[in-house]
Amino acid sequence: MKNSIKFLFSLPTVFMLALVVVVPATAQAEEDKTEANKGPLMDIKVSPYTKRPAEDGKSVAAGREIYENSCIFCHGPDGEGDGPVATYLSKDLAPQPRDFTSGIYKFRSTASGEMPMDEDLFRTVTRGVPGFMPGFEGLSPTDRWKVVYYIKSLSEDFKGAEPEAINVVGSAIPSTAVSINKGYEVYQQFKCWECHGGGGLGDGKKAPDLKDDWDYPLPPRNLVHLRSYKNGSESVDIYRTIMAGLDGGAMPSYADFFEGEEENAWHLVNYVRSLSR
Amino acid sequence: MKKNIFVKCISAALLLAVCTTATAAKYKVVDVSNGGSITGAITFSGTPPKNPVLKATKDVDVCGATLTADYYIVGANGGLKNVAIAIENIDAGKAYDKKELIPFTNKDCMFGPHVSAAVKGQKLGIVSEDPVLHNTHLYSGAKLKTMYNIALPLQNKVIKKKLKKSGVVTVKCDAHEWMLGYVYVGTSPYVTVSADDGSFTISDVPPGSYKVTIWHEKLGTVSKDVTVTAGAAAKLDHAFSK
Repeated sequence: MKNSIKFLFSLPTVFMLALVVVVPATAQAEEDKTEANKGPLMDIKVSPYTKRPAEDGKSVAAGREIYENSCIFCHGPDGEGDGPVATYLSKDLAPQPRDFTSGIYKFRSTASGEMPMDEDLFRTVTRGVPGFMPGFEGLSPTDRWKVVYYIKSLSEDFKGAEPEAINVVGSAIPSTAVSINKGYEVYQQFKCWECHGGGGLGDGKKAPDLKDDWDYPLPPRNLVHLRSYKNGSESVDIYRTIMAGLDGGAMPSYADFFEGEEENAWHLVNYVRSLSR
Repeated sequence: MKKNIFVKCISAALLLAVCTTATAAKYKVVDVSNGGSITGAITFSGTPPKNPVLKATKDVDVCGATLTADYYIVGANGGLKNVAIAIENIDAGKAYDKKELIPFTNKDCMFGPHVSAAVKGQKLGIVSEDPVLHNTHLYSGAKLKTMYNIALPLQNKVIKKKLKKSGVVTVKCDAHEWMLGYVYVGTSPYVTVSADDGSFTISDVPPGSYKVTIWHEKLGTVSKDVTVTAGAAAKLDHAFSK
C-alpha cells in the first residue's frame, strides 16, 4: 500500500497515465486528419554513436554554455540573430542569422507552419547551411543535442508543441532518363520554373523581389549548384524541401498537390538533381 | 496489486478532470431558444482614404498592369465593408457547421473575399482560378508567424487547410507581393464581416453582456460592451475616422 501511494503521487506516473487516457481520446477527435498515414516517417539521420542526453534544465544550461562559445557571435546573446558578426553580414541577402525567439524555421521535416523536429535542428547544427552557416561536427553529438535544447528554450512556440514528421511515401528511385523526363514534366506542370527558371538557374519570371519574412531579398535557389541547396542535396533532402516548404521564405509546400502521386515528387527530385553541373 | 492499478486509474481520471477544466474555454454548442441579436452598421465618417493603385510587376498578362487595392470600400451612407465583428467572451451558444469550407479564392491576382470570417477549427477552401503560379501564405497573429505556405500550381483544385488559431490571419502571396487578404478567426460562430453597406447582424445570441471586437485591417480594433436581451436586437454602430 505504501508503495502504491508513493506511486500515485509520483508526478511522472500521473502524467504518463493522463497521457495514456488523453492521447487516444484526442486522436479520435481528430476525425478530419487524413487517413493517408502511409509509409514511414521522414528518415532523419542523427548520430547513432551516442545516446541522446535528456532534455532537462541541466542540458539546457550546458547547451547555453556551448552556445555562448560557438553560436553567440552570429546569433547574439539572447538568440535574436543579432550577434556582433551579424553586423558585418551583407543585408542585401537572406538569410540573416536566425532569430531563435521567432520560432520560425525553414529546415523542417514537418508540415508547413509546424515547429521543426529536434532532429531537424540537430541536422542543421551538424551540417550548417551551405554558403551561410558552418557545420558544427566539431562539437560532440551530445553537445549538439544540448545546444538544440537550449535553442528550443528560447522560443515559447516549442512549449507544448508536438511536431510530427511528414510521411514519406516511397523512396528515391533510380535516376534514369525516363524518371528525369517525368520529373521535367512535373517541373513544367507545377510551375517550378516560374521561380526557379526554365533551366533551373533561379531566374524565373517571379524571381525578382522575392523576400523572406524579415524582408531580406531571398532569390529562388539556382538549382544547378547542388551543393548550395541550403536544406541539403540528397534526394530525401530535396523531397523534404518540396513537401514541407521553407517557412520563413517564399518556397511553399507542395504536399497537397503530390498527394496520392508521391512518385512524381521522386521523379521531380531526380530532375532537379540532374540539373547540377 | 489490483488495488494499485485501481488507484492509478482513479488518479489518472482525476488529473484528466483537472486538465479539461483548465482548458474549458473551448466553445460548447447549446440550445439557444431565447436568443437576441446584435445588429448595426459600421461606417466611415469623413472622406475615406484613397485606395492605392498597385503596380503588377509580374504576370501582367494575367494580373493586368495595375490593380486597385481594396482596403477601404465605402458604400451608401458611409457604410464600411470588410469590417470583422466578433463576440470575444462567449463559450457556449448556437450550433454551426464545423465542416463548412470557408472559400478563399485567388482570381486575377487578388484574393476574394478580401476579408472573411471563420470559426477556429473550420477549414479554408483555398483555390486558384488563375493560370499562373500562386502561393497562399497564411500568417497568424501580430507576429505574422507562418500558419501555412502552400503552392497552388494547378487551377481549380481546392486545398483544405484548418484554421488552427483564433484571431487575425493575414494572407499574402510571395509570388505577387501586392496580394493581401484576411481571415478573422473567431473562437465562436458569433463572428461576421460587414456587408457592402456596412451593415451586419449576429443572431441567436444567448442573453448576456459581451465584449465585442470591431476590427478593420487599416483602421484598427475597437472593443465595445454590448448587452443582449432575450428576443431583442441590441444596436451596435461604430464610425471609424482617420
